[in-house]
Amino acid sequence: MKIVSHEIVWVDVPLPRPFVSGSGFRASEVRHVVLKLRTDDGIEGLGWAYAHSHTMLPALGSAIDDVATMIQGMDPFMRNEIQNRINRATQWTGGGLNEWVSAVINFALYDIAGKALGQPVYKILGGLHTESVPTYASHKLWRDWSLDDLATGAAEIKADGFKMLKFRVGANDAALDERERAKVVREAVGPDYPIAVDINQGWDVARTMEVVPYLEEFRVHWLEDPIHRHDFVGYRHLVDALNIAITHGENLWDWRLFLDVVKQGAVDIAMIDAHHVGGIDGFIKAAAVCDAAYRPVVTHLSPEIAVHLGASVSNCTLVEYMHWSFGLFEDTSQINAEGRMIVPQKPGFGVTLNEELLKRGIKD
Amino acid sequence: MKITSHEVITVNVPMEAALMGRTESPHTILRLRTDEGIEGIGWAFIFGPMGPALAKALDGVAELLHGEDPMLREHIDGIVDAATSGSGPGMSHYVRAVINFAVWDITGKALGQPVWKLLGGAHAESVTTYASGWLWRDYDLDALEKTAGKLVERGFTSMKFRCGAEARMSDEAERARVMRNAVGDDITIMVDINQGWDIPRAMEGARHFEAQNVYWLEDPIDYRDVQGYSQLVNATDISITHGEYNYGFEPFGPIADHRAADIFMIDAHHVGGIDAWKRAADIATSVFRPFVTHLSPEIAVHLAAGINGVKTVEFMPWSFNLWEKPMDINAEGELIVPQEPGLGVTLNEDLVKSNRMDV
Repeated sequence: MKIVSHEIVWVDVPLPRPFVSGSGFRASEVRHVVLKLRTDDGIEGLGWAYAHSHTMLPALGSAIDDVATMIQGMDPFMRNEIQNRINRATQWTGGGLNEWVSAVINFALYDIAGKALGQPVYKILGGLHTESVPTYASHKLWRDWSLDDLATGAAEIKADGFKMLKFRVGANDAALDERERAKVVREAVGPDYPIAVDINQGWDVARTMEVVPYLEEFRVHWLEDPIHRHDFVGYRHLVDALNIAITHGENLWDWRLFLDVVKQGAVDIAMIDAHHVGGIDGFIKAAAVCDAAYRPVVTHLSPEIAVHLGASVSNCTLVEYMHWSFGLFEDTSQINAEGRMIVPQKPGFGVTLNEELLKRGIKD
Repeated sequence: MKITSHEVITVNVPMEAALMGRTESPHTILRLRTDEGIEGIGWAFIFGPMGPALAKALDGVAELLHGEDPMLREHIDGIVDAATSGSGPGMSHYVRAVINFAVWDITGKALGQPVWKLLGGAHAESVTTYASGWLWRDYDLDALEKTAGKLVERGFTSMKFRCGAEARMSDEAERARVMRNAVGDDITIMVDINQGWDIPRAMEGARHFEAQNVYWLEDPIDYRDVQGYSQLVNATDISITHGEYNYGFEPFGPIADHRAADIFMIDAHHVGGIDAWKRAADIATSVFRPFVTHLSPEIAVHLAAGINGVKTVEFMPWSFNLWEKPMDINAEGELIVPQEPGLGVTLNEDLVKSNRMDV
């Protein structure tokens, strides 16, 4: 089997409600770039990426397009050989975009592999859970939501069957205002329900130490990305000084950085974004590095892909439920009666593109 | 003064000396224009698919700068950082660097001063340099010897050659021997491995290079292996030089903490621009380590002429044909410092027209 052609499709995926993202971008749609990688056997594999800030997306699309052309004629099962080829072609710019490009192609290759073998990706990786994986609701409770909306939203999440949620703080100057957000969420869901909080790097160590006692007061389960993604020394300090679990890693672009993080004792729960570490193969390497240091890992965004990692990687304990790509597919991530994310059983990632939406494309 | 428009073009620039089979280097150029008629330029050169990707990224980000005062460099860097950092390091640093070069160029032209003077002014006429555009990994021993001799004749007092492609260490050692014999004892020679080795190989190679009094061993192992570099620094006599592959100034922190480099090499594009370069250089200074530039002598000369402590500037001629006047060394083998306002380079508009690429 050989890769023979590809198509890049741009599409703005609508959201049920406009929001302000963790990184501060106002969005009512999420722009996606979709790679359809085709083989001479007629199999089409999908990879995709998205961003709230559109600025770097044209560069990403251009790179994916050129790199996908370069790998024509190669056997899609030869993922490592293909990755070497990608590395050689992209070596002059390093880091971020390279991981992103590699990830989109890596996803497409896994989708092809699954479809060729008639197996879901999680089974190719070595299945751990076959029916469902633990998940938490991450798609609501944004930093710009009012206290009333937080309370209502949290109650809705619990009523929808989720067994854990994440909310955001970090926009208030007064520490007591941050405390208030944790208080209303806790009161909305009751004493036993796990609630996690995300700061999206908004603080420094001093501010974190100031606010966290108020979060620990309401037994917030984890504190995510409190400080700058590269301040490993600061993270070590927080890990040592605070009871709350320090969770971070989504902004690490290169699986090797997880080695530095865990060696320095700078994380409790490692969060790995598959797009940022070069795809599924990169995620597995990052997870293994964390496993060697007895650290659990959790996924970041893209549940359509992450569910396969949650269903196969032995130290992956939780998959983030985020709806940004749901409109792109006919079959969205589903929650069962126990509040767990159902593992797809169809070959590959088990997703079908919403071709009607693809036809609509993007606005500019 | 406000930025009013921009243009991003890609130009295939013929190189003075072939680079491992390539004779041209695609350059991505940003022209930033102001309401006072001053134009500043920034540029990068990237082989392969990331060149067109950079052009697209620059185009999108430069659009965001319309209406901004180009002299507010920190403010502009904040805008650029916010627009690009979500895509991780690498490309985002190229974007920041190219824009930083362009706004520095505008600032210099607006104030009628060369950039190196605005950076503080350390050396007004010339700076130490070494020949780097030759003596590649694919040169055979004969070519190595002849070219090294020509560089000495031209007036260079130091030069860099490459190893790392030979299967046998004895062949690597032979390259060093040929180099030393070709230039005599008074010329400084350095060697670059471009991360081709691992620690055992680097330890073995270092001994042979030390025997020929090679001044520095550059990028022997994977640039990310900070501990490995620490090990090499401690275990070898030769100066371990590296850092060009690091994106942002932040990675120089751990390198400094672990004393993982004898000489810090900082690439102005990869670090994110001239202002970022100074931050990285300050980190090296804080741990009493010397630092050097990487590529782009048109930028590096301003760093070396402006900031105390730059040991030497890499004389890499890849971009020379893009300008009306190439850079050159003086009779003492030093790189001549430009005296014109801004970066002191003028695009060769004929070449820009004839070699423009559609990306």
